[in-house]
Amino acid sequence: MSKVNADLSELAQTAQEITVAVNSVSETKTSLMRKYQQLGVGWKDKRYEELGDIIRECVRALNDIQKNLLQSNKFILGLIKSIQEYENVNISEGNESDSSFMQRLRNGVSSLAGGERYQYCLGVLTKGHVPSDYIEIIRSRHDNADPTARRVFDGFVDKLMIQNADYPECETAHYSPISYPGHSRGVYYNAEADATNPRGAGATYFHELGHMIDHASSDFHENMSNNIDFGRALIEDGQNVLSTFNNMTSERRNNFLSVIRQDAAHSFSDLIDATTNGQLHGSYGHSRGYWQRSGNLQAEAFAHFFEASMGGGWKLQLLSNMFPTAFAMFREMLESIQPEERTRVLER
Amino acid sequence: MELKDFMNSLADTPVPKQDAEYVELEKQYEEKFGHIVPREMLPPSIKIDDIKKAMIDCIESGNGDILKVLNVEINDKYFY
Repeated sequence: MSKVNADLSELAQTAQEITVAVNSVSETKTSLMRKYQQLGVGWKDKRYEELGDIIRECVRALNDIQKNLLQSNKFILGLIKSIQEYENVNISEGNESDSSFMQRLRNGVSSLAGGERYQYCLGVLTKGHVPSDYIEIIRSRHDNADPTARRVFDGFVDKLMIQNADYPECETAHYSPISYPGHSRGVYYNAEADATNPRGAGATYFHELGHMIDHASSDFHENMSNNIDFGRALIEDGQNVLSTFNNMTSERRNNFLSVIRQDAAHSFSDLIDATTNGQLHGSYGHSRGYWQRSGNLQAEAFAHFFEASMGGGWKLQLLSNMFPTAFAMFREMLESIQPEERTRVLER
Repeated sequence: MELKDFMNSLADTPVPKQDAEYVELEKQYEEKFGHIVPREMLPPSIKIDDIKKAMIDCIESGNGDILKVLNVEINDKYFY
């Protein structure tokens, strides 16, 4: 018998119906545009253009509806999770130890119709399978994180979402800042692969969530990192490294290159490649085209600095010493973030 | 610590073992196309040997679009 005035199966049914509605809206938009384009064969006058304006207005309205539905679904799923946690509490029997009780809360799993699996990892709602030994890895990194970075992470967990922790290994992990039909805003990555990431176990998790925190800090309007001064500081720091490198002896230059070619130096390699236009680098980087997008240098720096700050070990020392001015600005950004205070009934 | 001292300390640490074949291919790739392999944008299924093969393909064919050779699709709206 349910202990709360909410029916879990009804909520699950509602979540399922919302998913159906979202897909239906998506199909409607596609159908409208397709039919409009079909009509355009042999009909291209002013009336056709006017019809196009109306169609586009309809599609915009449908986009708003879809956005609201997706947002509602997220809250419903969160409510389902909270109710399940609540119903698992059994004070009267008292046979359970504290540690197994908290462990179940932290690793609580909710299954919905259709077999979708949700759980909370470090307080972040996560869709998909996350191996328990991997959870221990990211928990350990979280516990050993820089206190300010950890405070920011903990403050934002309610706004973060892993949309797919089973993202195919043949697809690149990423943060999608915008929701598309079938691809909501959030992080897509493969947790199992991240457990053996050559760049450091858990690196992708904290890097991609770093991108999401950057975006969430302005309520998903724009990236906090996207400012000219931060970009300028990154380039100046990078040029200082290049200049210092060029003044080293040949032997030291060769040794230095060997050090930064290591997988663990991936984030430094990426940023120095970007800020020296390829004159200095290790084995990792983004494409030239990626750096041409305005704000991407700052976004990647934010995500790399954040990942290093979340128990990244040697990486933190490397980045903070090589990019001191930019790193100090990153620290100021973190310190300026005051996530909304929330009262938590249950620790996640 | 000053930047120069920090970089010197890194340069003076024991050098980890390198994959010499990879380093050589990367140099040839970079000389030919002007940039390195964008490894930050590759999925976990792609291993070092796959990258080496792809670099050889690119060098021999003259096509520097290694992401295409590796069948990696990138979306301009995502952050990687």
